[in-house]
Amino acid sequence: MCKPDLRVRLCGLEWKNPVATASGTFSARDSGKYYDFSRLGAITAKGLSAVPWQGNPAPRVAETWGGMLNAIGLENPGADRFIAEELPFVRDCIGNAGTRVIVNVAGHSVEEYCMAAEKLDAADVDMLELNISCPNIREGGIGFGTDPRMAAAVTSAVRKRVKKPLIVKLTPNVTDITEIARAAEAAGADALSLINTLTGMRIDVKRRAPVLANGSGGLSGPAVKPVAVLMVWRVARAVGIPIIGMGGIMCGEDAAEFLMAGASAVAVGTAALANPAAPAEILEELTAFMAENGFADVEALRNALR
Amino acid sequence: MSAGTRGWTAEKRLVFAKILSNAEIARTIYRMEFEIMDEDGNSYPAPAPGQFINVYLTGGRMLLPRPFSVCDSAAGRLTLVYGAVGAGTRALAGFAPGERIRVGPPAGNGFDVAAAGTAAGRGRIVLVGGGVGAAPLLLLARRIRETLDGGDAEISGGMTFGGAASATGVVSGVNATYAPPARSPALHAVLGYRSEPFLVSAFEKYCDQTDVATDDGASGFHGTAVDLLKEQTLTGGEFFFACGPRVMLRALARFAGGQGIPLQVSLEERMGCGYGACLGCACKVASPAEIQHRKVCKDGPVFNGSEVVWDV
Repeated sequence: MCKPDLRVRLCGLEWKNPVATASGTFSARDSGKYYDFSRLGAITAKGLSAVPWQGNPAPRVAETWGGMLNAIGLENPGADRFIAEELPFVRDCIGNAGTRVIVNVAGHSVEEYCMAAEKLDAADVDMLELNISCPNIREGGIGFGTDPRMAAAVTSAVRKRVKKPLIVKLTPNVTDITEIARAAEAAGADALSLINTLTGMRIDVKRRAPVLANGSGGLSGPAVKPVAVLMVWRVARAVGIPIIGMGGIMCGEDAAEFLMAGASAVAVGTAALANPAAPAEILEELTAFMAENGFADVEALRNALR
Repeated sequence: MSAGTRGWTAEKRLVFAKILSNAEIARTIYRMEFEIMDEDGNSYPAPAPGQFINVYLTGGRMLLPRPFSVCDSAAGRLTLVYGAVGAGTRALAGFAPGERIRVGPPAGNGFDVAAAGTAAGRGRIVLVGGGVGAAPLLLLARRIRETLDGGDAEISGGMTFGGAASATGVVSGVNATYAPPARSPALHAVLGYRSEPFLVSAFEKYCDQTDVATDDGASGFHGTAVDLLKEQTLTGGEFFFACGPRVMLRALARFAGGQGIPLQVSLEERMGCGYGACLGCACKVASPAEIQHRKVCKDGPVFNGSEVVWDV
C-alpha cells in the first residue's frame, strides 16, 4: 500500500490535492479555528459582489431530511473589503503551503459580474468562480444559469475582462445541464463547478407559512448527492474542460464517487456545517480510500468507472 | 493562527460529553447535565454567561448542530435546560445517563457583566426570562454574584456542583454561603412561563427577589414577565438582561427604551453552522455600516436591545 499522489491540474494550475471548500460554507477566520485549511487543495471564498450586499432576512436556513435549505441571499462585504481585510489573512494562513484561493463572483447584471470579477482578478487570488446559479437573489444569479444564451453572454463578457482561470458554477435547476455546460465552455469557461443547490421549500404547518423568510431556498447536503453525481457524470461526457464536483459530499468515499464520475476535483460544503473540520477529514479519508484500494493517483480514480 | 502547514493547532474542536442526568423538570422542559470527556488532555473553556454550545446529533433529520445556551457550568460540567419541541430536542430528551453526545466549544458573545456593574451603580439588575429563555440567565445570576460581590456566590445545598468556575476559567473550590439580600446592586429575576414554572428555586439562590408570571395565571402573576415588570416600581439605575421569545424581547426593548434603561438581550435564530461560516443566522441591527446584518452565532447571541431592529 503506497501513498497516493493526490496532485491534480486544473486550468494550468496545480492543486496539491483535489479537495476544496464550497462557496458559502467557509470562513478563514472561523473555519480556520477548527482545521488547518492550508492542507486543502483549494479554498473558495463566499460569493462576492462589486458592492456590499445585505442578503435576505431571517430565517435563512431550514433543515430537511438529509440536507438543508438556505436562502442567505449572498450577503457579502463586497469585493473591495474582502481584498483589503480578508484576503491578506487567508494568504497569511496558507503561507507557502500552495493551497489555491478561489473567489466566487456574484452579480445582478453582466456589468456587475464584470466589475466584481475585475476587482478580484487584480487581487492575489488564483481562480474566479462565476456564480450564475444562486437561487436566492431576485435578479441575476440563477437567471443567468438557466438560459444557455445568458450563461454564454455573462461568461464571455467576464472572460474578456479577466486574466485568471474562470470557473463557471452551474445550477441543477435546468432540464439539460449539458446544454448550459457546453454554452459556458464555448463562451470561454476554463472549468465548471457543479452542482449549486436545488430549489426547494419547506412549510411550517403550524404557522401555515414558509419556514424561510425568502419563501424558497436552495437544497444542499447528502440528500442531493445522487443528483449531483449524475450531473457531473453527464457534463464530464459533454465538455472537455475540468469539473469541480460538489453536492452532498460527507466522507472520503463520497469524494471518490465524484472523481469516478469524471470530476477533476471536489468541493465540500454542507458537511462543514455538520462538522466544522469536515473538509480536512474528508481529504484524509479520500487519501486512505485511494491507498487501500490501489489508486496511485487521482487520474486512476477518474478512469476507474467501469 | 500559524502560517502554512507547520505548527498549526486547532483552537476549537468538537469533544464528547458523557451525560450525567437528563430529566423532565416541567412539562416538555428538560434539564441535562453532562461532563466533558477529556480524552486528549485538552481543557474545555469555561462558558461565559450567555454563550451557547452546539450539540451535534446524528441522523438524517439532524444534519445540523443544535445550539443551546448554557444554564450552568462548573469544573468541566455543563447544564442545559431545553424544551423538547422539535426532532432534535426530542431526540436529545431520549438520551440516558451514561450515553455520549458530541459538543462544540462555548460559542458567541455572552452578556456583558462588567457593563452592568458600571451602569447599575447602586441600582438594580433585573433578569427577565421567558420560558426556556430563563436558562442562560441562571449562569448570569451566578456570575453577577461572583463578579459584583467578589468571591464565590454559590450557597450550600441544592446545587449539584462541587465548585464554581469563574469567568476566567479558574476553578474555585470555596463554597461560601450567600446570604441575600444585603448586597448592592440588588439582583432581581422576573420569570415568565406559559403555565408551569421551572428553575425558580435555582434563581432564588442568587437573586434578592425572584418573581414569577404565568400566561394562564396558574402560578404567580397572571400575565407576561414584561407585564409584571411594568407593574413594579422602578428605583432608578436599573439594568436589564433578558432572554426569551422574540415577542417578549421586543416588548421589553420598547419598555426599556422608553424608560432609558440599558438592556442586553440574548437572541435565538435558526442556525446553519453555528460558528460563523454560513451567515445563516442573521440579526438585523440599526447601524450606519453598509451591512446591517449581524451573525447571531458569532456577533451575538447577546445584543444591546436598542441596536436590534425588532420589526422585521
